[in-house]
Amino acid sequence: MKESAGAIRALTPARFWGWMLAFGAFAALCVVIAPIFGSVNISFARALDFSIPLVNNPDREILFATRLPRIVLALVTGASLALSGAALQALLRNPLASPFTLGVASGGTLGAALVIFLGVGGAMLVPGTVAGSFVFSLGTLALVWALAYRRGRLPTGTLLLAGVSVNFLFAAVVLLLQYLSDFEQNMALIRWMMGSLDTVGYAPVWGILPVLVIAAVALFVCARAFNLLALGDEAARTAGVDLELLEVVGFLASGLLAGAAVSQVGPIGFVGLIVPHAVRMMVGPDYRLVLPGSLLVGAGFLVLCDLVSRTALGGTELPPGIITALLGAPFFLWLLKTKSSEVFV
Amino acid sequence: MRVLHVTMHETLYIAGNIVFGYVPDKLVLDRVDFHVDSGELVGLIGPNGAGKSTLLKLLAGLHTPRSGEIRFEGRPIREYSPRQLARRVAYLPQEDEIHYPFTVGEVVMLGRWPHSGGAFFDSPRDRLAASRAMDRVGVSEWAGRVVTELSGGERARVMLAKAVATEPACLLLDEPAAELDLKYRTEAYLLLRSLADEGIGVVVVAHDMGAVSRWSDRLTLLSGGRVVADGPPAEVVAESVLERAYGIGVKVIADGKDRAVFARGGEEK
Repeated sequence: MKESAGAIRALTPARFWGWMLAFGAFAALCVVIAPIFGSVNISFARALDFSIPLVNNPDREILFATRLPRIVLALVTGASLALSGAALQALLRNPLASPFTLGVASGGTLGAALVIFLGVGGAMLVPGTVAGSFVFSLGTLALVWALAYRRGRLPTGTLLLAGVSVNFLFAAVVLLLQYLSDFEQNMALIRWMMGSLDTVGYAPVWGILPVLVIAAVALFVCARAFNLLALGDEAARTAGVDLELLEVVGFLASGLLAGAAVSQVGPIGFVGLIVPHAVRMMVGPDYRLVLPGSLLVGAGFLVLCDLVSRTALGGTELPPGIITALLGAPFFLWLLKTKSSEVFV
Repeated sequence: MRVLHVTMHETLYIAGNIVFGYVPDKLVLDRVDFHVDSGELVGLIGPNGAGKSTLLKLLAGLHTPRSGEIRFEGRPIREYSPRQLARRVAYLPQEDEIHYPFTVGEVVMLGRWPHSGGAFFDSPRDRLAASRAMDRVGVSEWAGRVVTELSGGERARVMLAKAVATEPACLLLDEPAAELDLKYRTEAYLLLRSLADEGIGVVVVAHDMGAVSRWSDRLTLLSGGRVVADGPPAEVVAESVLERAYGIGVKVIADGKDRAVFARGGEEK
């Protein structure tokens, strides 16, 4: 009898950890490279020399108070958006799904726009736009849920249409608010919509990290069931997959990840769409690799994009959303043109 | 050489008085009785819309009957957890659906999910079962190929391998051979026959009367949501029986175990 076990692409611990090591190394490399560059040159030897008092050590101030928090923020944001996109592509069984497909980002944008328009939020613990955006992201999730929910299920087609419709509706309201705003408010809103990783300190990181940790654990546990979901509802259900539970986990995890990230940094696009595809191209469609792989690669990718956005124009910063789109779109088109049969169906 | 397995034939499925409909005022199944024993290959035949696929779905636990009871291995199937039932029963839907470019090996491995017990990695035991199933169905050489690039018939065989990899006590197959050519259709039925001879209960929904009557131990003929005939192929594939079920003139030519069925639409009777 012919032995064929070797030819089956099974997921062994060796294969899994091999990929995780490679993706982790990529993310680590990005983190190591990123702080070296910036609008001013700093000396690492000086920054890490703890014998110099902080007041006399601007290098250390720049490294620890601005560059590192920003890199960590890019790290958790990229990880969240990419993981959210991968989970949503699994849940909706649609390779074009991204973290913003459910309408969470437009909801978040509307929340921020309202805060800017009404001029509230000056006296809160967190910036008003962050609070407004997060509350509206959650509200959008609840609304899309209510629209799509049918007898214990979240049917794929209904969910997709509910998300897309809510997207359009909120985008229109944001446009209306923009029209009614004065010049200063408009500028603030436009800057918010382009996304920003500019931060002093770690407060935004703490707004994202808990969601990322919980969602990642929940999604990784479901990874094998997501593989079965790709073969259709009936195949998954008759294999013993609890579809109702899987849909709730996928919906909440991807929605909360997108909401947390968008409310802290604005709607940075493309990361959540292209990173899962790039990972899939390398490892195949097995979600046990695609989900954690997207998390690691997304983290590194956004750190890299942020590095470009900080340095490309010398002293002037570009919004990271522009860089992710400029780097991401051509890559996605190349993927579509050359690898479509391997990545898409 | 054919190895004869001496097995006790036990009742796997027994369904009594099944009533079911998708919408309130239309019944798809009307007081249907059905059973399958271990080691038995049962062909489920009948006109379009007779309720064959629906009955299979009920057996697989996808729907719950409005009345009547389905028992599997002595217990009502509603008492099984989905995963418990999935370890004993493999169901193959009529349409295959694959949304991402998995390899053939990966798809067959998915048949092992009910046995995984929530484990993250594929166990060596899973790989062995998948590898055996692929050898039996004859798809081993495609292990690394992307399943979405295969033809319909090739995919049907991969899906059959996935069902076999589950190592179930009962196989529920909805037209597994519809897209297969003469050679592979025969090979598929030979495989089902040998699985049945090893003690597995096999239920096959089929339209190809010649093949299904040649290889089945028993045929159940559904028409209009009711069982209109149930028995050895020689009794069910008879002109008067089929004419009543299909509402068309039928001619049956028998040659030993082989039966050819001709429809006589448009001709003068």
